[in-house]
Amino acid sequence: MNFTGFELDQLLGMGGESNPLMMLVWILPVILFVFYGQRIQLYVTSGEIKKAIKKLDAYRSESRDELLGHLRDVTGSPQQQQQQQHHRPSVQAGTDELADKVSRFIDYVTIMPVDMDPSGIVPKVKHVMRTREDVTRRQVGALAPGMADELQGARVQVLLEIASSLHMIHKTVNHMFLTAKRQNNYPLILPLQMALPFVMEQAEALRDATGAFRDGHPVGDGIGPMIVGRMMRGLKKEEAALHTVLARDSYEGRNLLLLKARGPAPVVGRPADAISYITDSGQEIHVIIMIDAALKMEGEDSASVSHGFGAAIGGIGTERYEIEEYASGAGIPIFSIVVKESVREAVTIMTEEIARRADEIAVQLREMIRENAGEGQTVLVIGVGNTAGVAQ
Amino acid sequence: MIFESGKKKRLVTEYAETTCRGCGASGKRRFRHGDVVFEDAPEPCPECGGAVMVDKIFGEILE
Repeated sequence: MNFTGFELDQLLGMGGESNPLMMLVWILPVILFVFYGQRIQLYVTSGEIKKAIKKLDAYRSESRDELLGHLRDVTGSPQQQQQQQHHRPSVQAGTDELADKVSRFIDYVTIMPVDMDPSGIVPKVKHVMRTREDVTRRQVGALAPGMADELQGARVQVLLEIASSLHMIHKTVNHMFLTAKRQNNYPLILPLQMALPFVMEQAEALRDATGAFRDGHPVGDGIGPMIVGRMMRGLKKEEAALHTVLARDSYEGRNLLLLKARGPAPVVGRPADAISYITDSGQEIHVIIMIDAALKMEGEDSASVSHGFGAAIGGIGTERYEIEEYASGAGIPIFSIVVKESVREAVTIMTEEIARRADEIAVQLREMIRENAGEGQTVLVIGVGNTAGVAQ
Repeated sequence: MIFESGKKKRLVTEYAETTCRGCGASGKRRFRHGDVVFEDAPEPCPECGGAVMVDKIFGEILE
């Protein structure tokens, strides 16, 4: 039999007649994809997700190491730590203990109140979050007894929050991936695949935020406090709530109440509590203006400014709820000025574009005050956001 | 992945913009640890020797 005497046209079925070999070449992949298509897709997608999980793991470790390094820097040398805490038997044991405590704090969970009956849930959420904040602040103080001041404590607390968020992101993505993989369930991995680019964007932003908060840079989210801080310069400040300062001024016959978080510590303050402080003192408010950074939509220019209505404040929602509750009860209009930024811009060092926008917004703010408040009326201007690196 | 992100390496240089409280002269220099917006910078004004306030701190990004 001559095996070399075949013609290519005949083998590939191009001769017009059907060829069994060619039929197999076409039919086998079809059968393969019908029965194993999902599994093949799972393997392909798995590779991409595994790479992302590896990156998330690296971010998580970096942020934890960064936090530990910063803690050791601000608390002095390990020898000093040892002198301060006599129960530590050795330097190595002391640093290990610190690492253990940090790991425990990073893994803390916050259990939100049950929402089957959502009526009255806001005070419960506020209570849980306040407890978490207060306890973390105390524990950070206990973690680093040699810490120089409150500014360093606030920085450590922010770094702890970042490390904790990255830890949680890694844990969640890994859980979803491993569950899909264990059950060979491709549809289960689809939502993860779709959400992953957004998750990675958030995680990368958080990773980059570490350096900004550690070094005391103003971040994009600090544009509101920066504008109000400039207006507060030279004025007498009073503590209106925890980490929140208030200054009084006047502008073209209008009384101004200027409110922002107390910088340069990386804190956001408690504006809702500050409003209670103001009203409890008998001071009437006629208009509220809030300046904050907001996430830009795709296609929107970074540092573009929008004016609008309603409370411009992020977070879990309790501050916003209380401000809205007060304003709607008293019939006070709330105006807002928002500066559009990406996730990364909001938590990393302020870009030149955003910083230069501050003077322009201050002019717009004065115009807004003139247009919406009459002479003799009181306007509360709140610079919302993280005031890292911005004094007043 | 279609929306692969984080491939570009971001290089950020931090700057501080200062304004003299006396003569109003403004300047731009690299950020130094301890610089805080609206607080005095350690160096005196090169024009009049007066106190200099940090007016802005920002990063210039090279991708």
